[in-house]
Amino acid sequence: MLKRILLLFTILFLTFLLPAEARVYIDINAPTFVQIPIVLPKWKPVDNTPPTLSAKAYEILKNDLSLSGFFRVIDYSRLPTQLQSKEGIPSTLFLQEWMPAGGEILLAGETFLESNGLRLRLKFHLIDLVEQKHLVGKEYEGPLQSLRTMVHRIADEVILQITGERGVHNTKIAYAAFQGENKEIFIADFDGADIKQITQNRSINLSPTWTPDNKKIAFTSYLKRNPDVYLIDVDGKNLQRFAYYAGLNASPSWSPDGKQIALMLGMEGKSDIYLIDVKGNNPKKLTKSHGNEASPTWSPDGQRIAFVSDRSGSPQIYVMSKDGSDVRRLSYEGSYNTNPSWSPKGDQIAFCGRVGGRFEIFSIGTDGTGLQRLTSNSGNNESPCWSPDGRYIAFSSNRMGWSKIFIMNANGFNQRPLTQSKGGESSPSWSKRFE
Amino acid sequence: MIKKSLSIIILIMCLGLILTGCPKKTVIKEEPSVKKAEELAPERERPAKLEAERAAKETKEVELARIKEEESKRALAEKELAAERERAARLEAERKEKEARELARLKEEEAKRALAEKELAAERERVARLEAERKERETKELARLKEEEAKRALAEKALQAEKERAAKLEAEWAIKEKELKAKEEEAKRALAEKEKEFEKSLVVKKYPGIEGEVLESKLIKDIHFNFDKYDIRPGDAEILKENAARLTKHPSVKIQVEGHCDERGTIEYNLALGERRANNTKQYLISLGIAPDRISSISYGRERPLDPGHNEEAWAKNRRAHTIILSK
Repeated sequence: MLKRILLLFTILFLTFLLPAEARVYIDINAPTFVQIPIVLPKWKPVDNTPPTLSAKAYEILKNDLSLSGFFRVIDYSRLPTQLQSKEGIPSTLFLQEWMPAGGEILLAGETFLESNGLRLRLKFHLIDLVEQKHLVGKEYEGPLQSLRTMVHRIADEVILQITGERGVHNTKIAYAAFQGENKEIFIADFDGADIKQITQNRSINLSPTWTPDNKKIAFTSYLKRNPDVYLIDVDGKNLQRFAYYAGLNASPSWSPDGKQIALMLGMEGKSDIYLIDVKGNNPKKLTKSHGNEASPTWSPDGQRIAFVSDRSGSPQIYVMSKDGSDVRRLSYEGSYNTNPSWSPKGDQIAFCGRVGGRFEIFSIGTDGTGLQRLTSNSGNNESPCWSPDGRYIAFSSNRMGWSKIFIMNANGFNQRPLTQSKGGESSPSWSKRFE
Repeated sequence: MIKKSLSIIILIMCLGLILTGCPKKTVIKEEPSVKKAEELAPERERPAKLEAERAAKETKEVELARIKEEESKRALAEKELAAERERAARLEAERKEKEARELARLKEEEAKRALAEKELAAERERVARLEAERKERETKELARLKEEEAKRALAEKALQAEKERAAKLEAEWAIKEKELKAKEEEAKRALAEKEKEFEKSLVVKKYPGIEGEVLESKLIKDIHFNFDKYDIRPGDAEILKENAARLTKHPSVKIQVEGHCDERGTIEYNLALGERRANNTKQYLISLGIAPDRISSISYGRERPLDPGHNEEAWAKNRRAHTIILSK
């Protein structure tokens, strides 16, 4: 919800670390919210900094803010002519000057590359044009190759100021994607940049999952002619066969404390949910029905596990306690509900449900109320996965003719593809924040 | 004959002599009985008183005795006469008896002769009958022999025919056997060919990025499933029976049953579904007698579609249990 903003105030930018009161400008959980118009004048390359570097930082930031879904970005090219040429952080700011821009928030910044060409400094200020208030000003310093990370931090900081919670621009999304006939594991930044292929084994590599320390990816691979769970470092090194019981080994989900892993094992001839320890040992079977059990996901308090079971005759979402007791069916709408993902806040479970022959993303309260359909009439949508702040859901969709990873706000707004690649992507998994 | 008649005449003469000499002997025999009657009288004489009486009496008695004696003498003579007569009668009777006896004997002899003659006639008749019978028998025997001969001839003929038939049959049989053998060989060759066919049908299948090199055969057929189902349909059970029969013929072959799904539904749930399809198929093959250690199963979920299409036709093809050969 947009707050009322008052105007006309001049601020002197003398200190960067002025404590800013985090105010909630928008409530992202509202069924509809209006994006805040944010004004982004050109960034200024200080001293001998190449203008291209400054322009790059500007583009990353602009994209971050757009992707966040909270903002309507007014970039410099859309400003009135007299403002288009303005760049950097003005020593004094005449707020009235920015009124014609049509924005409520002003974000200005500068790029400074040190003379040795290795160290980079980024400086920004955030001003509430309506309330005539300086919100925050910060400077970041790091190696040149950290440009993206540094810009993402700025975006996260901006979002913290506006929404009361840091953004997730410094998170990554792992997914599987076709490479010819084979599926390999890839990682991309939240903004779809910096795509890295971390497996190159030409096998079938499926459903990647981040380990809780953000350092490894677990996935299912057929390298040894059996679907086994492997671990690999995010840089593609140290491939390790992790769970390789007879039959199916798939869909691992780490408990919040990182000490247990729930997964699908087929050692008894059908898929059941088991718990194993961090070394992949001591399997303990949790499910006891005659059905096929799939896709376990932990509750953030580590007490319960949601999963899929077709014990009723069709796949539905169930919840049980972590010892396998107290099983309750959660989904009753539709005849095909799979892929549950427990929200980080613990109050919702997103899942994939079939409606009229198409697969759509839904969310439902953990008490079974508040069912919401988040996608509609746009291809098949599968494998929902929450961002660590619970404000986004990544999923796969073939609405463009081929399967791609999409990201949307948790209420279904602002759906956009993660990457610009051709497609064949599936099974997104969202990392925690990289600090 | 003359001797026999002479002896008969002599015999008759002797008999006449005997008959004339016999009566004298009979007279002598009567005397002792008269003497006994005279000795009884003295014993009846009594004492004195009665001497007179007795003397009178005695005189009387002597008289009487004398009369009596005379009477007895007369009686005796009469008696002798009677005896003589009796004897004569007896002799007469004896003679008559003898004659009768002779007559009877003659008659008997006659009868005997007649009987003998009769017997002879009977004998002759019997002989004749026997002869006739013999002849008849001989005739019969001859007839029988002839008949038998005929029969034997017939039988021989039949035997010959039978033999010929047997020979023919044998020949036919030999041909048939030959044909059968040829057929058998053909079948064997066909089987060998088939085995070769199986061998020939094996195609190396290399899955990129998956360890090992496996084989596929078009002769080991896929089965298919309904959407979101893993039960084996009746028609597919027949296919599995054929597959099992082929596997039984190649007992060293080790297989892996792959469970596959169509593209609909999510990756993980389809992995579970494929797991169940593969395992159900495996269990069915085991129930048909394939050793469990020859079969493994694996789920590929929806990751290896046969038909890349996005329609029911493609999906139906992709919901399958596919069998590969891990080792021969």
